Amino acid sequence: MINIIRSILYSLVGLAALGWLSILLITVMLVGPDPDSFLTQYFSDNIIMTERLESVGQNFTDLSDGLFGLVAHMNIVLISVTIVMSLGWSAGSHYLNIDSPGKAKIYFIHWIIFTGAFVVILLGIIFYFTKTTAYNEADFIGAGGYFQISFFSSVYYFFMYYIAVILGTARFARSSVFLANKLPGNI
Amino acid sequence: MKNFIIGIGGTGAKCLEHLLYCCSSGLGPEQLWAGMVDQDEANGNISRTKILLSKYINIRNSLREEGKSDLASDSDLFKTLVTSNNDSVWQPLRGGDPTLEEVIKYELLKPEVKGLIDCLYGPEEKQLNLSKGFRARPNIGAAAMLATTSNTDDPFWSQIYKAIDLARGGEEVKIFIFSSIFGGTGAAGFPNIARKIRAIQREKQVTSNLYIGGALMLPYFIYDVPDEKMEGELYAKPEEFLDQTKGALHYYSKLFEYDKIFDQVYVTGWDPLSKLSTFQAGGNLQNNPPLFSELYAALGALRFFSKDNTIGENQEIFQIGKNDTNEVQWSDIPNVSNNLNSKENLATLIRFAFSYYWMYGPALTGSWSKVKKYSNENWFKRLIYKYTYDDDKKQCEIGHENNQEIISSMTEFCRDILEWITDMHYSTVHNTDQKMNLILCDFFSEYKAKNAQHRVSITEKLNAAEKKQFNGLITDGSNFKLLNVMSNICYKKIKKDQKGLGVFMDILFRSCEH
Repeated sequence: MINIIRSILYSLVGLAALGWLSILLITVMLVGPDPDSFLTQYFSDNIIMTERLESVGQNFTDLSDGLFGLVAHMNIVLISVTIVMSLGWSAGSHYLNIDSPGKAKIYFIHWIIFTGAFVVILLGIIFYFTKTTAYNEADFIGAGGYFQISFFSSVYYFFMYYIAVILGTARFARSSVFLANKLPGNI
Repeated sequence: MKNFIIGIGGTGAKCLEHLLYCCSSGLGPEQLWAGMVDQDEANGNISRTKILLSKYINIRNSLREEGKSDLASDSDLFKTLVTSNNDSVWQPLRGGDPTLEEVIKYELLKPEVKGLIDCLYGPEEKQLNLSKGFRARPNIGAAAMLATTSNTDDPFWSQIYKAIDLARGGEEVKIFIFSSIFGGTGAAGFPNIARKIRAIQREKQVTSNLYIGGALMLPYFIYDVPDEKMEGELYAKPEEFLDQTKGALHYYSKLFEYDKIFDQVYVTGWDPLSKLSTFQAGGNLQNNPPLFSELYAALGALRFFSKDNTIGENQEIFQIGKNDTNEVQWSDIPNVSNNLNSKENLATLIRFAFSYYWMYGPALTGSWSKVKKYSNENWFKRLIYKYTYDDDKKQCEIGHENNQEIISSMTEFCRDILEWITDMHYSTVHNTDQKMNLILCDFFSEYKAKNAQHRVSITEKLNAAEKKQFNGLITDGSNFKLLNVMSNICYKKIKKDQKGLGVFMDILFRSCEH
């Protein structure tokens, strides 16, 4: 059990390495849009289809509260899933049946499947928030905006997960995680 | 404190065998000198222990070589520094194939002494060739042993003299003797060697610091003697064991009443007797299996050597027995002391042997090009690569012949451990209604009771289903898996004074502790 706790702590360190930025973003989003902020400007210029917004007689100020809420909620869900998945792998790796030398490599395929599932979940969450009718504001996100949100979110949360599992995977299971076995032996 | 152990006869050698395995698991004292006494030097039991003794000494030396491979001073693995003479067996009658007549120079005796000898020994006994031991005739053994001199020139006795000198110098010295009561060599040697030691002690006027203990094996096995070819032969007859024991016990009770030869005597036997499936009167073909009651004797010796053992003024006699059921369990194995849990250490040793023999030994065997496929695995990086890396050559030296020699010696030793425990497991209860419930061994071994030379065959390779049964290897319900061993070797702390392959060996051993 002590080794599992150690793994979880290492994993949390890995999550924190990138996760602080996500938490900062969520906090800013939940506080609400500041008309002079870089983020507000960025959303207005790159994410929203201004023409469509104007065609329904609205402007960005009317939409920004809801849009910030959407992005905040999406990031909360994404970071929660990332934490659960990376801690889940880190703890679960201690139970992989690696009972003899050379066997860890076999579990690379398990890790790939687990990671693939994680990526699919990430994309699913992003799709849910940006492409379904769950949030009205999603209707005004343009194709370029959707691409940017999907790309940056998935890459960002994937890396957060990857760093966490590299650090958190059980020592004996590291050969099952891409490049994790390059870590020094005593970490 | 200096400790000396002497195994007399075939049973003595087998008890010593158990003791050496116990020492390799960390149950032994810090230091121990070991020797054996047997006229039948070629005896299979003696040879087996002799080989084991030299394997133990060699492997311990190579794993505790300061600066090269070091297990660390407080490691339990091969804890005891065992030493021995170049020839660990003392033959009371050296040279040729002497008969009792030749030993006592019968022809040169006066007629009245000849008459006395004729009363004590029959013509067959006087003419018996003694190169194959005393064939359950303690009267012959006693005469032969008393006829030999115990001077300082003899390597065996020089150790005894040394021990007594140490006692005179103020160091505490403990001598322990293993022997059977129903054989020839053992029954003859047990009181006589101890008395000789006491005589030397008196001669050197040493009054304190020297303690003698002994394990006396009452009948604990039996065998069927084939009718053919045995007519006219002298050999240990199982039907005479009880009578011989009765006589010997009577003699000892009288002896101990008047003379405190032993400070502590550990008495053990087995009921019902274990049934051996093979019989040899002596010689290299007499290769009897290790039996559970011998383990009691070995643990008795270790208790005697233990620092916690306080030896009183009066002679103490200890007996031990297992539980009343027909099943031998781990709870039947007594602890050596409050700090040394016999069950834990032996279970760890067995798990270590299993893990090393089938899992880690094969992975480390061979040249670097074969072994390097594990170089990215954490256990290898932490315990092997770092500690066998040559800074000058800028390469990992695991494939170097010195390291490979240690690896193959350990593989051999682990095989011996597995064969020993498996043989004991099967042979103790074979053909009886008793059961052994110590280990699960049928999935990795095959037992052929009639094949004295290879009773136990250990499987060369295990499949996945067999490896999975590791969790039931020790039948204590602990569910300790190979996965736990793998996990432990990646996390156990490396001690500062560990070096070379000693790091891996000690960590693997500690990883097998439950």
